[in-house]
Amino acid sequence: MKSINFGIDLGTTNSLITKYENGKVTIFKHPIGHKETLASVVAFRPGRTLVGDKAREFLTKDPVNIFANFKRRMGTDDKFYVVNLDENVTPIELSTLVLKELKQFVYSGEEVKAAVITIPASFDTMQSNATKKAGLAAGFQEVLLLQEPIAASLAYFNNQENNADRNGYWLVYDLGGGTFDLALMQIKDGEMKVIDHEGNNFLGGADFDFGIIEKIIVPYVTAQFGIENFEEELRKNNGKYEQLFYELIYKSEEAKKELSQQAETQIDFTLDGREVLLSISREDLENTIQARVAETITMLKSILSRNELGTKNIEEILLVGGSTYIPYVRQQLAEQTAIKVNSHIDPTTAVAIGAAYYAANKYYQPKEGVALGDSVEDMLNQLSGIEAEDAALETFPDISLTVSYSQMSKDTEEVMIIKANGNWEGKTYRIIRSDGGFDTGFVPVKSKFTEFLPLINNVNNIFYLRLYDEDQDEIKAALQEITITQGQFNIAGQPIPQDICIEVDDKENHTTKLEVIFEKNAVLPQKKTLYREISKTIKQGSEDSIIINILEGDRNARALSNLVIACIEISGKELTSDLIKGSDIELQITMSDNRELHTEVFLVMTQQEFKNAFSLSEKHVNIDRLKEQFIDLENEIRNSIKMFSYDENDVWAIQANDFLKELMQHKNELFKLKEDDRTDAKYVIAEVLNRVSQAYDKLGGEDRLERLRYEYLEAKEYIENHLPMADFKKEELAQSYSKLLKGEHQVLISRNPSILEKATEKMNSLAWDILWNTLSYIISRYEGFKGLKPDEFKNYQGVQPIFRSADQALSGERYHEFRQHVYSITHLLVHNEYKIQNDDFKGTGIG
Amino acid sequence: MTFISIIRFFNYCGIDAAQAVPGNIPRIKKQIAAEFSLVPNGIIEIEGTVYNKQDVFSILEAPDFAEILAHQQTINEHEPLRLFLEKGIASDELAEHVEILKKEEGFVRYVSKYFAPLFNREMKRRLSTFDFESAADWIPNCQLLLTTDGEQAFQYTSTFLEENLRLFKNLNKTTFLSRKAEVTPWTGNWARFMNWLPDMIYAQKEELAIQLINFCVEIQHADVSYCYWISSQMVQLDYLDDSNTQLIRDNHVIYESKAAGTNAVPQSVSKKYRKENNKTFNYIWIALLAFFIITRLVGSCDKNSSGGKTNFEDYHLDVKTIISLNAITKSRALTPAEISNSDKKDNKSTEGYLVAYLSFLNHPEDSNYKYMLSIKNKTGIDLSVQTPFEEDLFLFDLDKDSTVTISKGTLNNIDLLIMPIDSTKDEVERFDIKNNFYLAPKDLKTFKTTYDDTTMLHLLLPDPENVLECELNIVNNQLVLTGRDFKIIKSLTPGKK
Repeated sequence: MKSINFGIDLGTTNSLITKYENGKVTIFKHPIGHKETLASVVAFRPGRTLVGDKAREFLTKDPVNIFANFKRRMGTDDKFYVVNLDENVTPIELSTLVLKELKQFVYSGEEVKAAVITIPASFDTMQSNATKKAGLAAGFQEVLLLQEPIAASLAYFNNQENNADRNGYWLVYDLGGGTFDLALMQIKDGEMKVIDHEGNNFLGGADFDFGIIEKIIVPYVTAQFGIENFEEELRKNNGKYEQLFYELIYKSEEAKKELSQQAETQIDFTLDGREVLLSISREDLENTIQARVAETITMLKSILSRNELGTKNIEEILLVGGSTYIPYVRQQLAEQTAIKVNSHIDPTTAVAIGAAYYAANKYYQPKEGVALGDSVEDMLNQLSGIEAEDAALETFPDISLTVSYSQMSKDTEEVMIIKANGNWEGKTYRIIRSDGGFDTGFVPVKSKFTEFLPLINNVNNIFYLRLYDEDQDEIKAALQEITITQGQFNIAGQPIPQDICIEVDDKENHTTKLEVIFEKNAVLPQKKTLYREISKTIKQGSEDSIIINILEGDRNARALSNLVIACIEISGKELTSDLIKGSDIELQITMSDNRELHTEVFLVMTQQEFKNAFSLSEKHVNIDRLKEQFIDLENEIRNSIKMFSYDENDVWAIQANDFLKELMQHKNELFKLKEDDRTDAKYVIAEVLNRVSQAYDKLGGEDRLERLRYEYLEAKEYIENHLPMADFKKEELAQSYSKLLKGEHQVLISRNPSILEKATEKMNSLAWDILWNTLSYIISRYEGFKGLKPDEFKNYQGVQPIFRSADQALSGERYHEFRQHVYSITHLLVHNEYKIQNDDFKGTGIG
Repeated sequence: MTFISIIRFFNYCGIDAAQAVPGNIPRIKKQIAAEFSLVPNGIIEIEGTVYNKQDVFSILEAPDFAEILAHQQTINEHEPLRLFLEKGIASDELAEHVEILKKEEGFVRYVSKYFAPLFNREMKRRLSTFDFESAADWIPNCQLLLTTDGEQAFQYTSTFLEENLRLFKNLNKTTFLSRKAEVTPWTGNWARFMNWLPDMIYAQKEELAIQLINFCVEIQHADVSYCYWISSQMVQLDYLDDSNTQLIRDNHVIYESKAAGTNAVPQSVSKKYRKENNKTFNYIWIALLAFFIITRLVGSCDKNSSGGKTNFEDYHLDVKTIISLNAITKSRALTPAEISNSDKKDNKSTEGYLVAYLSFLNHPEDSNYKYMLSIKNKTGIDLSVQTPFEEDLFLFDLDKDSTVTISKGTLNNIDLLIMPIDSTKDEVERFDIKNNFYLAPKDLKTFKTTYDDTTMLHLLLPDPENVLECELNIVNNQLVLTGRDFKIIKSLTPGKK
């Protein structure tokens, strides 16, 4: 096992590579130009590929062959067309090129075989997987991922000036080139922990640059030159001003940087042969970015309130990321939060430095053999290792030691666990600190042993672990040198950025719901066994199937709005016998440090096991289920449109109608699809469905949720007021009501409008039941029926005797009988209010 | 919630649990962190139990870690419980250990959340094969559960009852014949299972019983044997209200006579019906008759009880006759406050009531086996005892050093409300029945304030005598009813006196 030691900040705008060695972190510089950062830009020039600042230089000259900001597209199926190559490249391929270029920075000649690569905390599993894939494609044998705020914290707190023992909470505010992360960190007894975090993968410097174009340049050009469709031609692919767009992006970025230093700057460009010179003030910039910065502050406040912390509980806000250079950002943070803003950390290098600290305590198993291209030093190391092994083989072929310890510590001692593999009996070990201040003496070896090593403050403590045979002769090959730097923090672990849930059937509501497997902020790795039931019988050999969907997102949101990160479908054809409803299913789910998901499914009834390890490529869509979800969403949107129109809420109605239109464009195609369809159509439709569902859930935002909660509570109040007045089946109705109340908490905290709507619908339906069991209401309806015209009855003649009987029952105070007659009359009405429920709900098959 | 044994993990790491004291925790955490670093995927698996760093650390960092450790040591000392919590293995020995551990209140509070999901799984395993006997045997283990975890623990039971309720709701005499196989399990011994289920699913228990009454009526001509078998179980139900219990008994007499001569009914019973020639004994009349006798005699009890013995048998009061009147719902519905209102005689304060709900277990072979409950007043003060009856109460005095004896007959349960005659002298605080619930389906319980517990107390058969003796005492100003192996203490509700 070897320590990884290398850290990489794969940024939206710039990337860096660092290495931890003997308590210090080295930032490698570009061999040419000696700049620490590498611009995350790739240029496909005729006959050669450029990465970094050289590539960036071509951004205005040859924009269609230059690619930047691709980090924001990681984990998507987006492709970029390269004119010069006449082929598409993916965000993963572009990131791979940046990573390969970074490897060249390591001047020592040492080959970087493993690295910790940082990612935004809010990256989803697909994006994380994509980053790892890029790392492996760049030639790393092992890639570990680290969330950027953690890296920044490690860098900050391990800085010699700041590393005094301080307990408390800190906020890491990381506003980078393309993404925003906010992490709440806690330091307690020398241990650093991430308590919570928030983020937005599409909020960063790139959005500010685009804001300058959209809100300053476009209005200026439109007003000055009266060019029709200027913005449209600027934004669209192959538009008239496409090239100008890339130039303006570049120039806006430069202007933004300048406005951090000065009050005013200018942008010049050529438009249809005319020279345009536009002055932009710092105030103009602030107006464009105001809303986005406010978004970050809202997140900050939300993270504090969620964790029941006041601003007074926070020691400092640590600023990370290039966009925090903007004075307006700093000023707003200070004004809006009243928390001390710390800008002493270098926003550009902090993440990369932290990655190296993290890498120091992470290990990997180098692959065997000396490959072509290995550095001379590595080759020598490996050769010496081979020699040492040979020496060991000669005398003690049957023992090896595996050592576990932290290379960094805030304490005055550090633990070391040593596992002896092979024949250890009769042998002894001895650990000596290099200054002679500590010596264990000769201690008999056991299969596993633990030693606490005393540390000298603020220095690298070097220890030698020596192994001796029965004659107390040292086994040279087993000698290990251990370096522990005192005074540096280690991180407790990385949290899961979103809830990881399983989709299970909610048969009562004819829908599905999410059940949490791993909670947001649980520290990785995690492993859990779930015991569920099969909710429908699957006959052996049938087409029917159960679907195990693992999703990432918000547990209170609709399943469709979350990201499916894993799916196993088990059809009747795979079963060795029938799977009966109610039988058990055991699901063992593991999520690694790198958020790789492994699932094992065991069907107790058939005694069958299904194993799966998921990756990006294994996205799975079941067409029947997709159709069901489609209809569900379509109906909900249609109902909402009706409700919005009824409430005269035109804005929401129009937006919902747009969603419906988008959905309907795919309906025909979806319903033509067969399960064995080999095209990408089902993936495309699934993606549309997911996107529309998310957008529809967000429609109206908190206002809509509040309105729905209000409607629910109103329906509830109505029942509470009317239930005591019911004259028939009172107990039964009361029981139905208390049954509805059982799930109320989940309903009210849900962020899924459909759950709230369905709960309200049930309340309303019970309210109707109550009314139809209340004598005064039945009488009033009865009087109303009497006044109806003959054509409003299916059989007017037939209804007459019932009216007579009802009259007699009423005058005779035989109310049960009267009620029955009125019910009979309702069945003879032309417009009855009877609702047909969809009983054909298929769901996932997991109850 | 999944249980993980920190002690087992300590053993794996070679950490001495005795060293896990507050000052040492950071050191232990370091060692554990290094252990996790040593395994490639950061997850340690010990004999099938999965440990991750976060779970282990959260135990170590818990403010009550010392208590957790003590409880975990207790679990380690009770192997069957450990096996159940870690692997879900429910051995026959578990019940013995539950019996011991249920008395440790703090332990129950700790273990309940881990015990509940596994309890539910085990119940599911037993009920999914309609093994009512073994499901009933399993129920007493719920004594390691807090009320708050009851819903989770009885989740499957609740679903099971609901599903079967649906089954019986949707069967008529025609469809029954084609779906007989689904009904067959209900011809077995299920009454004990239903009786022992806790009150939290009372509504479902009641609904199912009522549905079964209707179902039996529906199928009595279609298959009299099935009808008789189901009804035979229903007459053993001890939780229904008086009218339904009476209805079940009446119906059962009819079904029994109809089934007489078939293989469904034992020969001895069949003979009885041949002799009686369908002259069914009318239990309702007995009940009414008993009511008049009791009402008259209770008055005389007041005068005569000072003689030292109030024997219902002496007054020819066979408690069998009040069986249907003295239902579980009555005792639950009548809170002390309500009883006080109905007690117009002297309008005493409700303070100082000891509420005891006693449920008798039937003799395994002879449900009519007679034994007595005798209660001796050793409090040194005169007491008044009440037992609910219809909308009224029986009331009799139990003077100091006197004894009341109640013949069990076929009685399955009885409520007793015991209070000092002069409540102004009372030092015992109010037992708030509404706020108390105890999952105590079987065997004997001690009521404790801290248990948030309840009512039902099942009495073991007196052996070898046929008198179940108990006595009333005042201990530390609390009224205490003590039996051979049970004790009911009036719960304290400070400040509510």
